[in-house]
Amino acid sequence: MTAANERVLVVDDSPQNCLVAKGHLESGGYEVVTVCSGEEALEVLDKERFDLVILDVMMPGLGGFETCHLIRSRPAIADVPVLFLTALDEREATAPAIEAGGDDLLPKPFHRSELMLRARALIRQHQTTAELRQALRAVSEQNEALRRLEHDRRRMSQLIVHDLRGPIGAVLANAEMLERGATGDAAEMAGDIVIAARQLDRTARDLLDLSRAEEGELDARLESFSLPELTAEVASTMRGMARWTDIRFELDIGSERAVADRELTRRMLQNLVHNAVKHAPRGTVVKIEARVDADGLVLRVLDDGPGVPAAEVQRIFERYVTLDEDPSRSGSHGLGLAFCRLAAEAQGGRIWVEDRDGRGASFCVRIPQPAA
Amino acid sequence: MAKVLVVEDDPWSQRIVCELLEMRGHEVLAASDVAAARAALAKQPQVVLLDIHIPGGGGELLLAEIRASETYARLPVIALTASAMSGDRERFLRQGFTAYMSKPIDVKSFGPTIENYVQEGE
Repeated sequence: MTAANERVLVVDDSPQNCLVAKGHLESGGYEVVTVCSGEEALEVLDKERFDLVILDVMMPGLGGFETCHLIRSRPAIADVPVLFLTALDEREATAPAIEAGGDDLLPKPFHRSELMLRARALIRQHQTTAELRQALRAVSEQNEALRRLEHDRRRMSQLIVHDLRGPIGAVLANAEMLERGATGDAAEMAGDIVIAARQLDRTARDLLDLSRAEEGELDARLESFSLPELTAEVASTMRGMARWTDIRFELDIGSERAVADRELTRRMLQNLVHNAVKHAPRGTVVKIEARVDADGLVLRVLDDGPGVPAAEVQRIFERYVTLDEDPSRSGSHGLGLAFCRLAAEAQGGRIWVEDRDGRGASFCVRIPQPAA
Repeated sequence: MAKVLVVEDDPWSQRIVCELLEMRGHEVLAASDVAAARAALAKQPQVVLLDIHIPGGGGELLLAEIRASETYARLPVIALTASAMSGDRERFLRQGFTAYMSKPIDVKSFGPTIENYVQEGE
């Protein structure tokens, strides 16, 4: 089947040959234009669209190979399939035909069916290529649109989260002031508001941190700091929440000084302790270990919670991955550990989780220390 | 008793900072953008609390103007920022901020900290 608008340009210096080819092709349903030189062919090709060019090789003036070469050098028409007709020996003609950028070769004399078969194959192949190219362009346009959309979405959520921190800070500060002036139940309620507002603020900050980290803005500044001080700082901010669920902290902290980015390390530890407190059963102990040894700075946070299934130990450090079935209730959005991973990596370290023989999870961070 | 200029565009943060200062008996001038802050400087505050992300050029621009002016060059200016990351502290101090505080502010230590800088500036 051929569509009426498939157009073939036949180029041959012999009017007789032109007529023969034209007759065959028209009987096959093609629209045919004939010209008798390479120069004329180029002129017509510049003005009109063709689906196939059939070029005689031996012509006075521009020969078939030269004409093809010129077609291939003009971007607007370079794609058109070219079929050579030649009285030369097929073997002799093949190499120059390829060299000139031709697509196929038909020795003269030929049968109608041979011509029709090659014409159809070349046109079909050309059309498929064009369709693929168009589809590819459409896909890459869609891809680009999606990328822009994703970028806008990220920016928008970043702005929203940024703007949330003002009101959250106001809730927090006011509750803190109330807590200081109140006694009994009122003080306890105000205290709860403080803890809740801190958690909101932490989530908002995790989101912002993560965006910055993903945009490659986490650049670690190494400094020397005291491990006991850092750990005490983290533990004290978590005590309020730990009291709710009757969790006790057990600290096993080396007295060494560590060399790392203090702020990133503090946030990392805070996230890990926060997770442990959230997942540990009531009345249990969360162990925090920190020391510098031959392996570098090693932080460990151990809890008696449900632990992390073996299948999840890698995935859990990805953004939005959480083991909680209902993330909206647990207040866990899969941001904290993603941040921890980026923060560890920004310092040349790594983070992983170990199973405590079914007794809960042990999160470990190792950050290499500069050679003494 | 000190005169404190608070430059902060987030109304909630501005309100809470102003309240905390007023509760301690300080006089507070509030501004939400660079232009208003420039105008408020004429009232001769003794310390400036400056949010980094304020409209009209940002806190860093205002700080540069303050440090370049003859009248206010020695004024204590404290950066307020919600996005404290590693390295920010060094960057702020290098730019000429006297100190920096990250948000959310700590209610207990906020007032005394500011008062320290007022004394240092005198």
